[in-house]
Amino acid sequence: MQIAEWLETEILNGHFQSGDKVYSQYQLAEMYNINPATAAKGLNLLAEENILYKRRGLGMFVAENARERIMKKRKTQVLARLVKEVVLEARRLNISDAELIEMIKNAQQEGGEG
Amino acid sequence: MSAIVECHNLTKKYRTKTVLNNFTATIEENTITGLIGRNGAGKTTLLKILTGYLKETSGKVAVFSERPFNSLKVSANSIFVDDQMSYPPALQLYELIEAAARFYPNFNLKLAKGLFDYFSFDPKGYHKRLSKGQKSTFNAIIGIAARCPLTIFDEPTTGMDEGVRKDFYRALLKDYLEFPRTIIISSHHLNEIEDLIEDVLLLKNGRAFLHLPITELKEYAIAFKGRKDEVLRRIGDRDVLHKQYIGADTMYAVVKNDFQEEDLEQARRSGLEISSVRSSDLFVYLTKPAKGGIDDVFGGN
Amino acid sequence: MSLAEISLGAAVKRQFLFKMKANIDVYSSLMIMQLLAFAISYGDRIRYAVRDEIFLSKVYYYSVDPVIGITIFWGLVTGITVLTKGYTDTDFTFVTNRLSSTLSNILFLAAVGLAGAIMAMLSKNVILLVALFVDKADVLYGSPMTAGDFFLGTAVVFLYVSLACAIGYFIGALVKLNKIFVFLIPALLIGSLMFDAAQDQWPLLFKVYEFYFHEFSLAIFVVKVLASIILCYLASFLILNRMEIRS
Repeated sequence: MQIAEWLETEILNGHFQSGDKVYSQYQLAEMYNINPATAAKGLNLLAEENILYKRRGLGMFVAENARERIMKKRKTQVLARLVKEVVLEARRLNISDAELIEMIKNAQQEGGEG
Repeated sequence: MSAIVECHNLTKKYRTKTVLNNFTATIEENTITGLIGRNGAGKTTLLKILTGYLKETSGKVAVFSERPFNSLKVSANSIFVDDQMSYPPALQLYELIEAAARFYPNFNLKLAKGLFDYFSFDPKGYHKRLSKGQKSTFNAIIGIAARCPLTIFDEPTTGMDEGVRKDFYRALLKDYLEFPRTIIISSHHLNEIEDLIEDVLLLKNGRAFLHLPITELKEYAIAFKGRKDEVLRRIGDRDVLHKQYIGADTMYAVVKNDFQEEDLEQARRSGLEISSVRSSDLFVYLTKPAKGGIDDVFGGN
Repeated sequence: MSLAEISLGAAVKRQFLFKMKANIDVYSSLMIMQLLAFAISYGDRIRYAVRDEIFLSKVYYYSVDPVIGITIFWGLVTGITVLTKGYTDTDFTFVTNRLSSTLSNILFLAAVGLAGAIMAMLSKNVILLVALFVDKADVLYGSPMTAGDFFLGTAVVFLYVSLACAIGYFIGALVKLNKIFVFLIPALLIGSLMFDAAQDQWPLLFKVYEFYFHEFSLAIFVVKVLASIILCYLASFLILNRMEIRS
């Protein structure tokens, strides 16, 4: 769900703090040019993961520890999967573990400079 | 939520051809449904039955709980927009807008005028002198501004250029947010409408082949890519929606996604690439006429 | 969302007003045809000279029967025209069903028929004016119509035109039912004439003509014509009520 990912990113980079009200499904629909029901599904997904919580009649708010939850989720799901893929690809190319670690370090340095 | 459109075993036959064949589906109030299917799948026939233009051969069809054929209630609360919309040749474009406003109680004249000016129509112009794309745009303005409880667009963007298409979909969405209503929009380009719609109704051979929320369509199928024997082993006896051979031994296969996460994990570990399938590609796979594809015509694999 | 409730009457009224505005060209076709007929009437005025002891008088007979005839013909054509594809599809672009479509067509045809009848009758007075000022007539026999004459005349012409409209509408409905009637109707008319000629009998079509045009009792005439009009429209409606639009 793109909307969910986008909201997560907004929370990660501090645009929304814990306790802040996030956009309604209609605002999201208008901003992203998507169907409001699709936007609502994105919001509900985040509510199920306790990143957002509902306040009856008021809307959706950012939960306590939302940042931590998102970071943990991304680490265990997204990053872990990416790393696995990297490892698999390295194996296909017969790259040694030491060489792979070296490449990761280089990438980190470049990323740090850029 | 209540059902606005209910069809049960709806069948439409012409002398030699069955266009709708036991079509069954329900469309809920205030949803936007994308009616998709290849040319000749029966989209237009279905929509014309819903608006009372055509008469069903058998089965049940109800719009606002009434049979649409000859129903004034259905006519007063629905509008059918396509590129064949017919207007009296003697009336100027702006007079047509005013005429439409007199027929439809919810008609938003201000919005119609705004869109009319935005798309640079000449109030004193005539409909028959418009280009194909302009005609579609004009009809779409009437369709949006009429604010009918059931608004039907049949291939509304025919002839529109890219920019106008985007504007049209945006205008439709914005007015829907402001004034929710039940909208059915047909297209054979799913990618054009996939963000706009809530539900997808896929018509194939005159039947409702799939009817589900667009978010579920995006997860409906999954693609495997890798060594042919490995791919075949993983997909087992599942129905292959699409397959393609790349090089000597590499296979790309799309199947319905009913895998457990651990199965996928194992597949990945055995060297397969797993990816989701774009809904517009999936649409092509799902609606292709028979098994096989264009390659089979050329006697390929 | 609450649904709009619409009565048949309201739908017919809206459609009628829409048709009056949308089909303005029906009036221009009427006017052109009537002017043409008027010119023919005038050109065809019967003229001969009477000489007595003292004066040479030119005598003209004026008749606007061609104008009335052409108006009736125009009614027939208009009746057919409102059921051609373009017109029907236009109806169904906005709010309608088949009943309201036919009812508003009947009202529309009645309105334009009345206009045609009034203009045809007015041409009677116009031709007298032409006689006075163009032909410089010294003496006009007969007097211009009284209001009573005018209304009665208009009513009779209106009935004839309406009958023609209704017959035209019925023909239009038959053609909608099956295109073969485009050929079948003229073929039947001509065939009937030829058959009657071969049998050496008074043609059926003339009998039909006499049935309507040689009726001396006004009351019976009105009943005959009204009944025929109702019959035509009813039959048309029964055909049209099952028709699919834009199929």
